[in-house]
Amino acid sequence: MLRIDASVLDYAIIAIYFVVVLGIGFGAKRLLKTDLDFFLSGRSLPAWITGLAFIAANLGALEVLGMAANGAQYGVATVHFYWIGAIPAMVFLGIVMMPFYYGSKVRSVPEWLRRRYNRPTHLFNAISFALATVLISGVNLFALGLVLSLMLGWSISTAIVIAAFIVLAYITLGGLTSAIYNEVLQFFIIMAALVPLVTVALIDVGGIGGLADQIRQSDLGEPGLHAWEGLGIGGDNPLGANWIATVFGLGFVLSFGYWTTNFAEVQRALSANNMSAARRTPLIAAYPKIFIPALVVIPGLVALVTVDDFGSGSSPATEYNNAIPALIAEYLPSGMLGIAVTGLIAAFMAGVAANVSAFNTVVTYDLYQDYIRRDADPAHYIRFGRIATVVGIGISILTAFIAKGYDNIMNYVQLLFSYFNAPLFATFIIGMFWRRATPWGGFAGLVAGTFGAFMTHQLYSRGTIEIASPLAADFWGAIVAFVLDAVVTVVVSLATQPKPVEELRGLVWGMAEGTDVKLSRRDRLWWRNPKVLGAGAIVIVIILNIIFI
Amino acid sequence: MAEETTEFSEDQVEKAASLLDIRKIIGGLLGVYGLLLLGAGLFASEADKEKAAGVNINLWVSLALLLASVLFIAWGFTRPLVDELEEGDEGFTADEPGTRAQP
Repeated sequence: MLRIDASVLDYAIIAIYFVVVLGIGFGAKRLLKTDLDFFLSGRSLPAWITGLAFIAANLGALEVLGMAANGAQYGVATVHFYWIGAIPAMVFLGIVMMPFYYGSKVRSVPEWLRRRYNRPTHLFNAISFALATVLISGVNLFALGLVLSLMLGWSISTAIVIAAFIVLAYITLGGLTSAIYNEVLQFFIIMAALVPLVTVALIDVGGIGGLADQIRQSDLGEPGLHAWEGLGIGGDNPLGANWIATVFGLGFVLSFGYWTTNFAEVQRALSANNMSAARRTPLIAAYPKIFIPALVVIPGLVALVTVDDFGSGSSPATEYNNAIPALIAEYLPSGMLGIAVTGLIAAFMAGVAANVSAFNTVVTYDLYQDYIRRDADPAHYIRFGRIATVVGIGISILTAFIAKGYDNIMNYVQLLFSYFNAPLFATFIIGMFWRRATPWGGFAGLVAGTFGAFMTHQLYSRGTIEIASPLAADFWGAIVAFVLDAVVTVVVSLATQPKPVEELRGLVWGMAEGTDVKLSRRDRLWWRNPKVLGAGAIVIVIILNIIFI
Repeated sequence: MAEETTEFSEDQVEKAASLLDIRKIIGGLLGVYGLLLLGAGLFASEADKEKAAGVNINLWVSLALLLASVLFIAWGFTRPLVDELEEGDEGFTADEPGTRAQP
């Protein structure tokens, strides 16, 4: 059963949270002076704030429901999303790519494409990004509505409208500062919800050892306890993917594509107060991120062994996506129950807000300002940004119902990423490291890559090609998109005219700008050095991979 | 659009001074939650404990939340935001060599 018996205390905890969230919106409104304040927090935030917002922006439905679902469905192999995927990508973003983003002073990811390639590439990406963000924010909104309806008995539409209205209020009031401050707050509430839940669940199943024993007897069996076992070509493993699909598809293409080119993430780093803080944003985020699997995979595994028929989907409580809500209902008494439900609400609202705040920035700067109205005063763009926010939330509500058709939210989202992020990553990497790549090469590659991901999905869903699981199909879709994008970009580039090198200043490898700015005394401390931070995260991840081999 | 610079202007420092300090907000909210859970923990019924694998989870979590709350608020008061920014500012204005050896 997912339905909880929420007391006055639990409702009070939820209500206090809503009040504080709105209060942050009103507080942040006082700080607004220019359009840059609204869309990029005036590039004024310290690294620890942008770093925590960087994780929280991603710690939405995707993570809390989707990763727990993966934990129950695929077992410990789910850690690949973190240790092969997210962490190396975040380190790469901080060390290699951030100088080009922050140093070139672009205000968005599509803007980098405009300056490196041309307007058609920019327009194509700005539109497809705007579309992707509202789809993903719709996933979060739907998850929120569903969980509140299952747990509290609210109607799905009431829950969606309340949550959408609150997010709308704090973003239209305070812009990105308000979104980011709330994300930092949300991060701590989510931790306060998940850490006690995992602790109680583990005590109940007899600790890690007890859980492992019970997993061996479950359908997952021994492979469910290992990250790499059975991942050889032709081997049998719960993920249904071999190591090529995992390392290249998930690790390299999907994760690097997501973390390094998704503006909803990169925007957090662009709001940092200097180059050092911008580079440290994803690196500071990497450390907590390493340990988040413990908070989402363990509940998935516990649900698998404690909930009867878990995974059969015969009732909401046995659906993979609902592992964490099922455990909350099972283990937490009034009080902690309120914190846990607030944690879920916080996570999903962060997922909506992050995407909507990226959406309004891209729509305002990259579509409205670039193609419709240049040179208006800042107040005009802030006003337009507020309207874009309202429209973005409105579309998110509609897209929420598209997410309904997918049994594992993660599969749906990875599908979206294989369409939008995988080709983009190829266009970025080639553009940054190969000065010869031409404007039209970039455009042709991006279009071809997106088409490639679309075709792979079509062929798979019609049964023309066989792949072991929907997740593995998305990995392969990403690989096809990436390779096709790269090949087309290179071929078309060789046949067309490159940009004069002078126009590439600040945008390509070897021509970075802003890295030679004098660091402040505090930023020169060894533990603030991006390379030291990045290397530390990689070492921890390698050790963990060996432990869980 | 106005061209921005990496240096901090007077305006930015002044703005930082008036920034909402998110540390105090986090500390405040965790503190309120800690007190509410402390109440629930002190008056926990046997059924509550039994549900949570025999642990008085509200009590334990309330102690952790109160501790976190105190740490955040203390951090907020000992290092005001404006200090952090002014110190960051120093690196841009002082005419000492750019990257000197690590201390």
